[in-house]
Amino acid sequence: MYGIVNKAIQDLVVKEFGTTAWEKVKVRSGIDVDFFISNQPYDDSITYSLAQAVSEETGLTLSQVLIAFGEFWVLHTGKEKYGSLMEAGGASLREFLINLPNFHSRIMLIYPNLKPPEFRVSNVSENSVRVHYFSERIGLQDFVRGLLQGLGKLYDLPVEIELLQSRDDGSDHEIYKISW
Amino acid sequence: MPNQKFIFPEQQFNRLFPFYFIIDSDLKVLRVGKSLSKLLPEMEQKKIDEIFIFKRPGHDELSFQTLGQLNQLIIIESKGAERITLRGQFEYLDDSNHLLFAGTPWFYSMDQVKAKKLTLHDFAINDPMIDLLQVLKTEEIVSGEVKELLEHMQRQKNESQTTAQRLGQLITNLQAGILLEDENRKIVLTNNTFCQMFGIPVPPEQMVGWDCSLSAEQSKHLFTESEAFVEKLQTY
Ligand code: HEM
Repeated sequence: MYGIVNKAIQDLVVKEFGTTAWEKVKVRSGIDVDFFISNQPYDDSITYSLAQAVSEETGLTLSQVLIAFGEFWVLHTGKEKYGSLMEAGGASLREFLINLPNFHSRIMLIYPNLKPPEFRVSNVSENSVRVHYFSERIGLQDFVRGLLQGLGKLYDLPVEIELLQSRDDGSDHEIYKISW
Repeated sequence: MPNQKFIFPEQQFNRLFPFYFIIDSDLKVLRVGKSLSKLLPEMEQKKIDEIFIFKRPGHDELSFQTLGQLNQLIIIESKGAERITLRGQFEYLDDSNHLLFAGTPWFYSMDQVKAKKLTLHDFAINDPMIDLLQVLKTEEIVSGEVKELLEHMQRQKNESQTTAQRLGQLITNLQAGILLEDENRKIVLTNNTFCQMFGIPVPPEQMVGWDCSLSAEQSKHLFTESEAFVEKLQTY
């Protein structure tokens, strides 16, 4: 994944646990990269090793780490680095989710090595939306959950997130129902 | 003017959208913009799924109906060796029951544009594609430089680590006793001879980080002449 993703993991660890903890995470993961450049592609295995090492170092489960990372991505990385892009996504959570499919499609064109997820929305109602998540990558369901939770917080809405189907139970993609 | 119609002669429409195409309800291509036909000369009368792979959306069952309703960025890539990427949108044309694709090819560099034998004149004047390539190029140069800088720093770091290791080994085995403290009186470095001089029963590496102001007091019980040891150390 692009360096920005690994950098965000670094920022999360440093913010919540301090720089020493991040150095330990790096040693534990066995990754010898001093500095991640946001717009350079890195092997996916680096991201997965980092997430695993954060879990071992902090005692959080991998699932908790991914959820925390998802929230951090929206509330810090997204807000601080792509503030206006995030805001351009919509004036409300509902509008943002409806625009979600276009989000990575646009980024994808600028970064040719991107293998971004694909989103689709269905069953749009006044206070709920179904978000369909298609990805070439595995094991990131809780990351998506964290992202959606983060979006709820971004729009100051208490949200309920239900995973209706998943590749884990044989479907070809995940469906999340977000209600508020 | 809610129902005003805009009618363009084809030549003018071609100036605005030189990469347009129109399909009928069987998804068959009827007409192709002048620049697009330079890129993909044999589109007419073919069905779009013979010509293109849908990248975005990539997971929908695509029918004339759904394409007309998709209010979404479309990214399609031509099949075969050419691999032309187009980004744009579909619009339903009421009068003729056709779909219009309005968009532009997407390139990653000016070299690609040249390789496809396109020139500036093949793009609409309002199309920012070429300018974007300029921006991307600058970004590519800068990130190349950042990468080079990082590699340079990584090399320097490795070199200074090796030097530090060598010096460390040299000091460990030096015949003179050495103890180096930092400004907080923490041990940074010491060696075997020092430990032997004071009869300290632990290896020198283990003493790194010890607080000298306390450690002398704390470790005095390890020594036969404990008070003398503390006194002696204070003088260093
Ligand atoms: C400004 C906002 C955002 C930016 C700039 C952004 C950018 C990115 C980038 C660069 C990647 C790495 C993909 C790769 O290297 O192949 C990524 C992955 C991902 N993004 Fe976003 N994103 C944003 C917002 C969101 C939001 C709001 C969601 C979902 C609700 C989301 C869901 C994901 C997921 C699930 C992945 C993991 C990759 C996968 O499943 O294959 N992103 N994004």
